[in-house]
Amino acid sequence: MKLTDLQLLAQSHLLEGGDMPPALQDAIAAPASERWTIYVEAYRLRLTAALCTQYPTLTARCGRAVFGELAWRFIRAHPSTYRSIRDYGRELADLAHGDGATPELRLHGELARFEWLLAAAFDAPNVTACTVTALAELAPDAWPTLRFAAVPSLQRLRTTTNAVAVWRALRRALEEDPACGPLAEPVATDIAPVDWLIVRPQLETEFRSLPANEAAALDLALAGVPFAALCETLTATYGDAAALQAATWLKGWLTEGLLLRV
Amino acid sequence: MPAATPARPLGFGLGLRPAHYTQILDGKPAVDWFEVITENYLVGGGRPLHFLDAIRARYPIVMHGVSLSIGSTAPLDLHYLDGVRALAARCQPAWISDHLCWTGTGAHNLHDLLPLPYTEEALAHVAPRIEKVQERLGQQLVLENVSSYISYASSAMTEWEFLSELVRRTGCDLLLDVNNVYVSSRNHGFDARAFIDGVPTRAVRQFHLAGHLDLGTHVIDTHDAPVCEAVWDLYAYAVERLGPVSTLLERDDQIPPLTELITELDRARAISHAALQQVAK
Repeated sequence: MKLTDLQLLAQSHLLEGGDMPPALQDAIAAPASERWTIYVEAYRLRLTAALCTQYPTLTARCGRAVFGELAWRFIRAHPSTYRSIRDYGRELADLAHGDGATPELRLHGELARFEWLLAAAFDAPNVTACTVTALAELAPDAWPTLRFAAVPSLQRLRTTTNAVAVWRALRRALEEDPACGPLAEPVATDIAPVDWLIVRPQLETEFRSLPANEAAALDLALAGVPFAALCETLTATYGDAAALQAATWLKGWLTEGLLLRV
Repeated sequence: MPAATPARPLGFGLGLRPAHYTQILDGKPAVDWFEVITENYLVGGGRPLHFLDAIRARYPIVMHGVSLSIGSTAPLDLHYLDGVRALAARCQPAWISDHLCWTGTGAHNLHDLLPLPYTEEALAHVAPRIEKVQERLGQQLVLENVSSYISYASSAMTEWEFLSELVRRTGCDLLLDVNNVYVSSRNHGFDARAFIDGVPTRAVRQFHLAGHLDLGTHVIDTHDAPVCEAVWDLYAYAVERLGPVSTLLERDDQIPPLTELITELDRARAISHAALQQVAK
C-alpha cells in the first residue's frame, strides 16, 4: 500500500472509529488491533482533554461524564484542522447551546462562548493602545474625522442568562477543588440581555458589563464610525449633551486600553 | 543545507511549563536550559510570550514542535513554518526540533505522533521535506524518534537504520528520546541498546528522558511519571556510547513542583557524570 493511501486509511479510521478496516489490519504488523486501539483511544482522550482545558467551567457545570459525551459529539463533527490544539474547539458553544430549548442549554452555550472569548483575549497580539494623552495633542480640526478600531484582545458578548455569575461561582469552586462537578448554580433567564466587554490591556484579562447605551456607542466606534458621526447619532438620546457624553465614554475606553486609531 | 558546526552541549534542562513560570523567574533554579513546545508560543502575545521572553533572557531555550508532520503525505504547511521561523527569530533557540512522524493528512491534525513505515518510499518522501524545512527555517532540523505501538507490515529496515539514512541524506540531527527507545523496544521486541548503537554518534544533538505507563504486555508513553530504573540504565548506556549530549527531562501531565523535577534532573546529572567517568577509565 502506498504511503498516501496508508495515511488516508489510518486517519479515516481514527476520525470515524468503528471496526478496523481489513486493509489497515493487513498494513499493520501483528498484534495489530489491540495496539492500534491505543491510537484510537488517545485521539478521543487527547481532544477531550483539550476541550476540558478550554472550557473548565462548562465541564464543571455538566460534570466530566456529560461533558465527555458532548466533547465526543463535537470531535466527531469537527475534526481538528489546527496546528496548535489550543486553537481547537471554537464551535463548541453552538453545540452546547443546541436548539436552546431549555434555560440550561442556553446557559451552556453562553458559558462556552464566554470561556472561548476569555481565551481569545488571553493570548491575542500585543499592541500599544491609543491613550488619552495622545488624543489631547490632537488638533481640534482632526476630531470630526477621528476613527478607531478595537485592540486585538477586545471581545464583545451579549448574555441572556446569568452565565457570567455562574462562571464566577464555578471558578471559585474549581479553585477550591479542580476535580469538582457537576455543579448546579441556579440558572436565571428572566433577566434583560447584558452586554459584556472583555479585554487584556497588559497581561491580565479583564471584563465588565456595559450599559446598553454605552455598548451601542462602543460598537459604532469599533466599526470605525467617525467621532462627529458618533456624536450625531447620540444626539437623538442625549441632545445637546451628546458630544460631552461621547467624550466621557471615549476617555473611559481609552483609559481601559480598548482602542486603536485608524 | 551544509552541516552546521556541532552545538556545544547545553547541559541538563527541563520542559518549560506554565505552572513553573513564576518560580523560575523568582528562584533562578539550577536548570541549565529550557525546552518549549513551539506551538504553545505561536500566539499573538499575552502571558505566553511575556514569560518566554523573560525566561529566555536568563536561560538558553530550545524549540520543540509537535505538529510539523514531516512524514505526512500532505504538503508542508508553509504558514506554520513561517510562524516557527518568526518565533525562532524572537527567542533565538539553540536549535529547533520536532518528531519523525505524521500527525495527519489532508487538512486534518490528529494531534498524535503516528509512526511511519520504514521503507525506501518513506525515505524518499521524508528526506526532501526535511531539506525544504531546513531551507525555510535557515537551520538544521533536529528530529526525535517517537514512541510507537504499532509497526507496519511493509517496513523493510529498522527505525534506527531509517533515522541514520535520513541523517545521511539531509544533514539533519537527532533528538534521541531514551524513553521512547525503551517504550518502542518493549512494544516491538527489539534490543534498545542496538537502537542506540545504530544511530550516528555525531548526529545526536539531544536526549529526552520521561516516564511511561507499563502495562506488562506493552508500554505507553505518558510523560506523567518519574523516569523508571530501566530508562535510567538505558540513559547511562546512551551517555557512555554517545558522550555528553544535552539532556532534557519532560513532564506533561501530573506535573509536580519544580523542586521535585530538579531533584530528578540532578539524578540525570549524576548518572551522566558517572557514565562519562566510566568511559574515561
